[in-house]
Amino acid sequence: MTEIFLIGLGGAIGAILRHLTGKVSMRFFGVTNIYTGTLFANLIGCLFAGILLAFFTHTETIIEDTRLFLTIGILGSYTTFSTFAFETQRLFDKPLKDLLLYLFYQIAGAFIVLIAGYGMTVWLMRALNNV
Amino acid sequence: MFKNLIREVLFVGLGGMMGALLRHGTNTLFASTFGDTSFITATTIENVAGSLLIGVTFILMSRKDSQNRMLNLFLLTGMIGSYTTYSGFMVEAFVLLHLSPLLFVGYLFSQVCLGLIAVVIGMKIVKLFTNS
Repeated sequence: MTEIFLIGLGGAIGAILRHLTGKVSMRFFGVTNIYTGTLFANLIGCLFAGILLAFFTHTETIIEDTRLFLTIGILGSYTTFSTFAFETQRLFDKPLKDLLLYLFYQIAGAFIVLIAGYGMTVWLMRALNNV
Repeated sequence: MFKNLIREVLFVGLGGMMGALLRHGTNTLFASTFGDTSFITATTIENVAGSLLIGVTFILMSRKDSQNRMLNLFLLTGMIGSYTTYSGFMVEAFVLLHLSPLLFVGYLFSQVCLGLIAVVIGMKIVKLFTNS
């Protein structure tokens, strides 16, 4: 029951944060641009996914509810695949350069920040444990 | 202006809550049926289904656009947006990279292609049934 409550709450928080990310990116980049709220939400979300993945795989005492709330709830909802697929489809009418750049940022970019978040966290945890 | 933002946040939040719970339900159902051994994961199913739904919903909603802004936020941004996930997708890709680079590339490529095809099919289905 706690599980359902935490995932629901996390999901609401994640979606609201994504909506706000979209509003901010629209203010800076306008609407007809490849730098969309979805792109920023996915990049930021994947950075945190890497950080949390490192933290949870290198810590023994994880509370399962905390993990569900943060990863399945907040991050799962903050990042989105459906809008990514949709925006990619929309870009088929635009210059090829825009489509390729968008796909590069979304796929390679998200994966790079995930690895960076993971690597930095593992390094930091090791450094702190050795003090 | 501020009142409008509160309304938006409420609709997006409610949709997001439902999307996340549906995703968790799909995860649980998938794990109890298939275990966690297959190449196709619960995330794949959620992402492809969500992409299909976004195609369908977008075409349906684009008919009477502005008056349904709150419904749009509830369904598209909230529910479907939260039902699908990108962080879960990338974490799974990261795990696959440890197993084999080929699986990793195959997984990324197939998910993106399937999602894209699903959006197009979703749009076409609506257009077919509404003759436009």
